[in-house]
Amino acid sequence: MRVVVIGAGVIGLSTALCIHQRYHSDLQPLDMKVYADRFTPHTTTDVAAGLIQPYISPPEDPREMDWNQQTFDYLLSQVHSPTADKMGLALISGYNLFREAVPDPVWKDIVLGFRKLTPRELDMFPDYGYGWFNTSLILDGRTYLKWLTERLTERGVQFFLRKVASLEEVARGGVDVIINCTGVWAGALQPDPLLQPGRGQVIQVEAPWMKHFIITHDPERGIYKTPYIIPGSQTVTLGGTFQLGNWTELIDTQDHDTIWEGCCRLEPTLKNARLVGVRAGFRPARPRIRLERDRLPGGPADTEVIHNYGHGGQGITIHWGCALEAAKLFGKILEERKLSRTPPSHL
Amino acid sequence: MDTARIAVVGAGVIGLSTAVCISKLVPGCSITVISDKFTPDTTSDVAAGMLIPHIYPDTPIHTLKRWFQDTFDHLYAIACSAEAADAGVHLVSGWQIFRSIPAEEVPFWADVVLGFRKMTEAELKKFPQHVFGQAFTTLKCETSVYLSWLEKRIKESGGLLLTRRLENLWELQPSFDIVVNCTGLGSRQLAGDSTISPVRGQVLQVQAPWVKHFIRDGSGLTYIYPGAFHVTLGGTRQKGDWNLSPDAQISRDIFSRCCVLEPSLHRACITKEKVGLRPVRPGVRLQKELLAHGGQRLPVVHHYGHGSGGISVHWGSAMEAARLVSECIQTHRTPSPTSKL
Repeated sequence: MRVVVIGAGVIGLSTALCIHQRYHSDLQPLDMKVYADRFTPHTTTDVAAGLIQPYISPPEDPREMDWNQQTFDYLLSQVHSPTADKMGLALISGYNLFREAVPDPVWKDIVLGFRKLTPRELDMFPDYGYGWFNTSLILDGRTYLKWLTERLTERGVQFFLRKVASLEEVARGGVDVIINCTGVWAGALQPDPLLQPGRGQVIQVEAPWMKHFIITHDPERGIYKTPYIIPGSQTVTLGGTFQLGNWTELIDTQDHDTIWEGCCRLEPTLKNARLVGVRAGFRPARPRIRLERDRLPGGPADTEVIHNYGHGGQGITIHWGCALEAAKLFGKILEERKLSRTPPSHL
Repeated sequence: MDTARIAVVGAGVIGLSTAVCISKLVPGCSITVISDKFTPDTTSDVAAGMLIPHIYPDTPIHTLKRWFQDTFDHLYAIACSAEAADAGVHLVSGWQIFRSIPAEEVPFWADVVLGFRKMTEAELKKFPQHVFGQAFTTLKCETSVYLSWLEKRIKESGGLLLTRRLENLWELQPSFDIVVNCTGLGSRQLAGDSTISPVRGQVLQVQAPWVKHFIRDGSGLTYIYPGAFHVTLGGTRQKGDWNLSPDAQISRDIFSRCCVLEPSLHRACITKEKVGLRPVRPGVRLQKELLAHGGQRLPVVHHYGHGSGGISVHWGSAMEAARLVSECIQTHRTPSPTSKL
């Protein structure tokens, strides 16, 4: 069984690992390769702060709630183990801030210790009148990708730096299943008008006294467009911007100033923080995740495709649930293949 | 005395904060902090600086609570300001966990810290050996940074810092009008106080920047306190032990106890081992005394004996010590009724 995973961000590598873990022993051999034109630290995942927090409003596709829950449960089961820090995984608590009261988020029972902020806590944030406190997880994109790469390499999965021009090109190479995890660039392989870049720029600083995430919300402006501060293992990520349709990978100085001023206003101690880096990335924004099987039109009839892209700003948050779903779809393909390979009876 | 000349003896968190409080309450007096040790060599420098109060048998709970509230409010204002990193004060959230349900599920300080609540079942899963826990947000003082910041404030308001070892408080006469004794364990000798004795504490400093929460076992013996520069792992409570050298076996024991609570620490790098002697007394001594020797008088305000809880209550008790100093100044300004005929 020859499998090619296209894309080496969090979606590509975790889907590869999930499938390999589940089906490696069933399929001897399982020949799995990863093709990507970007590897860590150049993927979209590497720009993300890695905070596990789903969108506040219910998803269009109700399955996404299950995938969020599965990801959180899986990561929570790993966070108490000695390998947590090798994965780049840790618990983190913090604040979600609003100007006025809002309904509780759909994920309030997924995270730990969810509660509303007390008036004394809100005193810390004079621009905000309402908020939540909870404990969640943070998964550092770069460390996790390194860890996933090591696990896959141990299993004999090979990596190829390769720009894929089309799914057909891969299929012609004699591949049984293609797993398309190309994120924001999926449209180049198959036009998808629902997929757009949601450009995000961040500033990374050294501020090791910061132990909590602080995320502000403005329902009118939209998600990721107001300041957020997310402390990681070594650096603190400051954001946020979300520019739909903007493909500029270069750093925008106006964005930089907006982020810096917004975050310093939110957390005055940042004025002491040392600037470490600035980055921009394209969230693969889509009204819903594309996670489904597909057949190549006009391509070799034997090649199956599983699409797994369009996770917007919550790729890390939802990745494992999606990987499990992709693995399920892969399992169905195997079942169909076994049925279709049943030898004709001898009469 | 026109301008009261005040000597504050001791430069740990108690001495320095008392000096700052005096300068705010009694403008125009001159303050000199005298100590054989300054930061980073004081007992306070070893402490992780977590604001979680301790109980003293002889100090009433309502007094402790007032001191803790005053300290928390004072540091909270700093933590929310742009000065927080300079002062070494920041917020930290975490859990205090118990192996059996404690007699007091909600301690007296629950409404002083932020967001106090019982841990949920899901949260307790992280600690399979513990059955009950409290979650809250409190403050941490990076003591070495905080002490330096206090020293700066003292100097800015005209105070002096003097390195000197005193054998006797009378050495301060006639240069000073009032002595404020913040010498912690040093009071065994300087104040002849046999009720104060050391409780030795050993800690490790490790590099584990992914640890963002404090974890404290309700017994107070095992704790993990993440700071700005390192995570402090502890600890020990060894009564009557004066030994300031770290013990390797104890270090191994502390590390392994902490790894049980936070397994990811297995890979953490230990950078330092430190020992501090907590100045333990049945109650904090906060009182005036008029020393007399020959024809001489020396007003003293004692302010020492905070044991494990110095940083947690320092500002509240320093404000009270400053009030006692102010009273002393008033008393000694009033002309003596004994006239010489």
